[in-house]
Amino acid sequence: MVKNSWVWLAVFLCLVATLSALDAPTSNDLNAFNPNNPSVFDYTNGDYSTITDWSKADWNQVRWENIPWGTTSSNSKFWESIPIDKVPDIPEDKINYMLLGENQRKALTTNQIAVNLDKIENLATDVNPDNAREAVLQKAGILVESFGQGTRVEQGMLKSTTGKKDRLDLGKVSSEGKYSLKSGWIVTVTEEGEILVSKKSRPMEGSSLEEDVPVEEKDFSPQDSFTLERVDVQLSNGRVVRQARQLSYKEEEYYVPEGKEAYVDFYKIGLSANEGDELDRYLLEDEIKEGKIQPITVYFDGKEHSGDYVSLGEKEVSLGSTNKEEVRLAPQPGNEFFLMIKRVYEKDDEEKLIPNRFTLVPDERDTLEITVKPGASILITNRKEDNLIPLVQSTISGSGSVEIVTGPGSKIEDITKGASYDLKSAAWGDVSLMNGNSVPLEFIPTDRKSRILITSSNRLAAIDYDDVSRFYATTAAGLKVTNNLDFNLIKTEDDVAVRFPNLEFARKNIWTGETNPKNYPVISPNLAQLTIEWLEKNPKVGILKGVFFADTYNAANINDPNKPGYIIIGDKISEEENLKMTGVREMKTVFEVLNHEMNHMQDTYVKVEENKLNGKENPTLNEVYKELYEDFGKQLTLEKGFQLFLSEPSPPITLGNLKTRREDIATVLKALVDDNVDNVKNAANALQITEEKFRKEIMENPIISRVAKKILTTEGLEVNGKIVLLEFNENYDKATPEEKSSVAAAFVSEKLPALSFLKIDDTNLQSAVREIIPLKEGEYALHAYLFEEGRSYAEMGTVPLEIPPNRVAMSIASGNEFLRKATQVAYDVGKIDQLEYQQRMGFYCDVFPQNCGKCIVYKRTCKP
Amino acid sequence: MFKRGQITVFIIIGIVVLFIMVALLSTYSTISLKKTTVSEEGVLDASNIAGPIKSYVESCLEKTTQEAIFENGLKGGYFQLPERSTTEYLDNLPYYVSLGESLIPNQETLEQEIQNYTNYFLYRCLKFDSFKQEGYNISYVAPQTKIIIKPKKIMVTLDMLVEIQRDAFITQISKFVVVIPNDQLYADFQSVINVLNESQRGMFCLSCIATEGKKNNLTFVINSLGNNTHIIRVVDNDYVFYLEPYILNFVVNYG
Repeated sequence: MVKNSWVWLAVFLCLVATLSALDAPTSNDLNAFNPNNPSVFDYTNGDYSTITDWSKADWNQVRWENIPWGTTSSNSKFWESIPIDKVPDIPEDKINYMLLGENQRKALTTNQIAVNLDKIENLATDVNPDNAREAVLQKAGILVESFGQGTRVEQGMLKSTTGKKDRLDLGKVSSEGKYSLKSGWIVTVTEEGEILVSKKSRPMEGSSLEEDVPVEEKDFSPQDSFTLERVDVQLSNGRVVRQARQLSYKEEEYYVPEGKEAYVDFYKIGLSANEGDELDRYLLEDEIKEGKIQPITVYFDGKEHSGDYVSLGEKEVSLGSTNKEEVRLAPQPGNEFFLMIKRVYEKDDEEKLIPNRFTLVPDERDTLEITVKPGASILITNRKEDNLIPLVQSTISGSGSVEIVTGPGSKIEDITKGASYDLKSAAWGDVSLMNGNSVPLEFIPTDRKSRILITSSNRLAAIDYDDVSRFYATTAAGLKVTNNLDFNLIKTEDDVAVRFPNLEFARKNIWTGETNPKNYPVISPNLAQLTIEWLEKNPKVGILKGVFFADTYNAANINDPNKPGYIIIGDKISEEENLKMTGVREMKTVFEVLNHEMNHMQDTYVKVEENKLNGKENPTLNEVYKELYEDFGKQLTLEKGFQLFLSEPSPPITLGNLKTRREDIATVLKALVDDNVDNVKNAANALQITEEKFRKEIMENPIISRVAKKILTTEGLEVNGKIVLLEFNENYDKATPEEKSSVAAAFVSEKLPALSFLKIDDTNLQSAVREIIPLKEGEYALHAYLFEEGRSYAEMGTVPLEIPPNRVAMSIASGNEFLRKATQVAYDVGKIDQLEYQQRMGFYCDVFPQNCGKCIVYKRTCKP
Repeated sequence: MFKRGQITVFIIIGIVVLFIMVALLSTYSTISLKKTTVSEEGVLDASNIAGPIKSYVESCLEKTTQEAIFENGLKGGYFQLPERSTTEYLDNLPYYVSLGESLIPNQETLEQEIQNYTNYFLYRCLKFDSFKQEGYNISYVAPQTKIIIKPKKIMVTLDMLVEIQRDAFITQISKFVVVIPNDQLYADFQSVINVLNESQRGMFCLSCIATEGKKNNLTFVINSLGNNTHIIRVVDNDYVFYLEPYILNFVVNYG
């Protein structure tokens, strides 16, 4: 029993010893990983293959190089057990991306991502996007500013797997494992799956900085699908097209996606359906979904293509539509092909503009849209080398059409039955000229019947297709409409000033006197062109010292003897106010208004000379004009024609109360001539009494409605006339004889504008009627304007000169002393030369040579 | 046998026929009432008095009609503006298109308006100064003209009793006819009608203008008055009277 006990003790001890030996730390024991005692594992020299439970490994001591990757890399537990913060330590080439957990992936470094790029399905979310950005940059030289959902790099492609699924072919991989085809590109991948290419940069030579360069078309591949976003593109032929924006590229073609607009090289390309309200856009989206709207293909060769396309060449531009939607091209300010530019001149040391030294800058006022509807195409030719504006030719079939809209007022439509001008778009009138410029172009409609010229100054004309001197339609009011390129580039105040360096030019607020006001920063091309056109034609330009431009003004001479030689020219000169009656007035061009002001200017110069003289032996020019003015009333009563008109028997259809009216006026005039104040009073009373009835009847009388209606509708008569009558009646008894005479004269002078309407040629009432009709109070009419109140007889020196010379000569031959004296004064002060003097005087000087010559009526400063 | 009453009837009929024949034989449609047949100066009869007067009146008729065409043209073919005309300007014009509605005057209206002008202003030409100086006393009553515009001519008929008296002679002329060769007025209006008919919705047909302009040497001058209202001035440079081209002014409004 005892012996057995010893045996059992010995066995027990051996067992304990064995177990202890097994557990004793020997060198061999430390190389193996003991999951039960993982802390004793020798991570430096240990056998990593003995690590069966990586979750018990001390990752702080793990030496990545000791890991037996061949077997371990497929061990999911191994990867799962790697702490997040240790992930960056994993050698990039050892990473089994597929076995990494979500958070582990996000901990991957740039290098780790770069090596595993192809395996990452979503660079936006699967990994750290900043690291991913760096990785893509490192791997492909592309800076992805933002990853949209589903962005990945796979098989040499940077692509989006969602939405539009754009992609960039990164090219062949190099021996270093890198791609270079799109090196330097900066892109954004949107949530909609678009890849937006926004820039290409490259290191500057000799500098650490980078410079922006165009993306090169030669780097594009058939697999590419992207959108250019504010980037220049160097085409394969070397041409650089600027600032491509929202312009997409796919299958070796540029295009504008359906329902969108794109910009390139100062063009906007897009479907008209882009416009409209929310409902329009909703419908548009539906149509896009249903495939009703096609993308527009964009070419850069200028040649004609099929389908919906825009082709933007250097010499030619074309666009066409054969599908279901419209194609619209809108050249933008800065577009040199369409001359949407203006000149900015260099200045010399004296701040004077230097001719022919200028830069061309965008003219932000220019607008143009060209739209083709299915079945139509347009070819536009640059004719800069011939100094001509672009030529636009349309070709239409079926229901196709072309629409051109430019500036505030020119809209042309060309359809199979011909071209039309949209009157609703007409510029002159309610659309201010300051609201925009038209773009100069020569449009040839499909029918080739005409050429339609649109200038840079909102003027339009339809001319013969073969004979360009033959105008069929015009909105130009006598101003030049030309296809000359240089003329159409006249758009600014400086364009005028550089041509006339000896003249002073400025913009003015006429009402405040402010020079170059901020709210009037530029003059319109219309004003620039008409000023140049007028200055080049006007023989009197030598007396001009300066031009003040005004936007909301007409024209005026600045009547200041201390500063003669300045004229105001405003845009209103071409607008409705002056042109609405050109149909029936004899003023055919706006230049006549300016010539009128120049005649005033010559009078101002005469005043300057008069002010220099001390002697007062001869009347001043103003006194001469006053005498002419007063003579006119007397002249009127003496004219045979007027007398005939007053005394002629009533025609078969009665003139009604007009005769009474004439008799009243005649009585007043005769009273004036006779200096019979009592008769003036009686006549005035009679006039007042009959006025209401008269007014009523003139509305029903055709003759009066044409001629004498003006008598009562003239503001000066209706208002001032009544006032004069009232004052005259109320105060007459208190007045002295001199005052009575004065009042009488004032009354008649008030009536003279009206009487001027009744100025009748003694042989031809018809021609008088034609003179009468154009008259408009307060504007540029002839006779009525003569007597406008408060002008100090100034119009005596202008209006008579605006009557055609042959008509003046006839009138003088008929005994019109007023016109003879007015003509004589004009010659005396040098407004007309000898030749025109002879034309206007006609045979009179042959009969009365003693009354002809220089300094006959006006003598004070006249030089024989 | 005839009864006395029957004979009387025949005599009366014969006298009437005789009067009618006399009237028809008178080349100038005149009836001469001879009060005195012989004077010291010689024989005065209807023909040597009425002939020059008739020519004079007809020349006035032609001149005044031409004036009427040109003057009315300045107001869209009207002598008196129709109700649908502008009212806000001193010189108003008729609408040819108002809110898209065509108001182009028809041929009958144009003829009537020329008639009105001619009726109204013929007197200004009928001064008979040289005749009066020779001692004639001439009076006339209200003229009644009838205008017919044909494609190649304008026919003018004037019914106006003119009484000519010198010394003891009194002659009357009552009917005057002038045919004015004129293919422009009809063609110009036709051109305007064609252009406006093709200018729907305010789209002014430039191709039509080119076609019509080339055909009739027309120029269309367009001036905006604002509010979608425009003055159209059509100028026929080939159709000239007193050195002035024919001008047709009107207003269009497309709303």
